[in-house]
Amino acid sequence: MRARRKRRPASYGFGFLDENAKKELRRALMKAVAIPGYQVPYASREMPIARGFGTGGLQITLALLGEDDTVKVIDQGSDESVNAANLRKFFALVCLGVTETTRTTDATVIQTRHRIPERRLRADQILVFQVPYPDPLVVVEANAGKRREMHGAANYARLWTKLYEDMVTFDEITISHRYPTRIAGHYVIDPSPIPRWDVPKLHMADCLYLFGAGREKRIYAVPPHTTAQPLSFSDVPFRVEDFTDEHGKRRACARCGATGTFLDELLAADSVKSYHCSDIDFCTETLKATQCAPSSKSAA
Amino acid sequence: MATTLEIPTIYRPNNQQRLFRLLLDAMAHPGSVAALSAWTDEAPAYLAVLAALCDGAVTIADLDAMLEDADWRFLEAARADFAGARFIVARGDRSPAAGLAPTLGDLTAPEMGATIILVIAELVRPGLSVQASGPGIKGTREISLGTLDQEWITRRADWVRFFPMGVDLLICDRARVLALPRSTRIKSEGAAS
Ligand SMILES: [Zn+2]
Repeated sequence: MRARRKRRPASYGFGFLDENAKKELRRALMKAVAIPGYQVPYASREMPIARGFGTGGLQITLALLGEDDTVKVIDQGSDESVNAANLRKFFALVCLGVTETTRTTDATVIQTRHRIPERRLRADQILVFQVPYPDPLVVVEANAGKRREMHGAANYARLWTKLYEDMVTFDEITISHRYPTRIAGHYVIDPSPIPRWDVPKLHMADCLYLFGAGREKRIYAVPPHTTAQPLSFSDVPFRVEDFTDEHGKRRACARCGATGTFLDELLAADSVKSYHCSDIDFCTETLKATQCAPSSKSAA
Repeated sequence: MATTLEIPTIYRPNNQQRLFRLLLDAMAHPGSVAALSAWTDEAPAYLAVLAALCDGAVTIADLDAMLEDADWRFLEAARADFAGARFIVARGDRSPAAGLAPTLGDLTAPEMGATIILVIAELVRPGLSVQASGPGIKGTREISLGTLDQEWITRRADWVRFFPMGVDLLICDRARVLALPRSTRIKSEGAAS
């Protein structure tokens, strides 16, 4: 499926939210960008999807979209999961003129759950994360007011201690997702359940990253050209997932052959494992490029 | 018989969406100049900025009486003096008043730090220029601030000294705007003039 336009029923206002709700979100977004990594509170509106299912990201996207935007939605790297496809159709339905796409390069706004696209995003693109748990300090401090004070003072001693204890116990930092990451040398954020593989993409990016937590009613941002350092220790450095096989060779995607992507492990009926790119669009585009070169006529 | 209220361009939702995206992009790229004129129908940039961001939920301090009654009606925002205002509008071609002390927010609510909209005659033409770095800026960047009075940059340094508290500046000329969020570090020595 490719770029396609849809009409909305006349009963909806553009963007579903009322204009005051959008303005509140827009003010929060401006402050989130001005104070990188800080969780800006806002009044979350009731949305037609279940809480915890991306209302925070959804509201940001609705506050951003205009009729000349092209929107893409991914869930674990896939555009065609039921959740991703439904959200994409919802945007097209309530935002008249907005174009839907599955192609990363065509999108102006991408809403995501659990992945950052493999292809480096451009300065004119915005990635909106759906965030289930916005505050990395929850694991060490139950009191929300105290957490806010700790964030404000950039006091992360207890978080460091927790990480260090993990390290002593397990010999390495065991966090697989939601890796605590320090933004612009001050705030530590929960970058949402992306794999460690994606964390370095937050650092000195060209695009703008926006994070929305609907249940906690928080918005935060990582602006372009901003440092994003995963918390780590000099003797146990941060590492991304390792995709080398038992012979020490980097596994390739069984579909497109890529050796530089985050791979999902698939188990066939005969219990043979295979590995595929998690980012389906990247995989498809890579496959097209290799199949169609040098003649690229069928690429459209 | 009911007369249709003529809603100025900058108060129409689709234009406000476009203006907001330009402002968000400006905030994400401190010092980059956004041209607003395609969405303002000749309204001044400072008014377009206020229209895109304000409504009845916020307060505005209009330090130099630039807003007319009709503007206040459309903006719906409440008037405030600088001490409590979320938004402050002032002429930037002249020095800030000695006693001007905008809200900086506090450690647990830095977002309450004011957004200050400074209106100047000309942004780009030679005049004040500063070296800037920080989030949104690749390396360092020389930012031309045109006819902005340098005292604003001096005062800003005091206001943003204790990050995350601070103020965020949106500097406008007739049709353009650039942002200096509190996260931007400025070496003020670059002042020409
Ligand atoms: Zn692949």
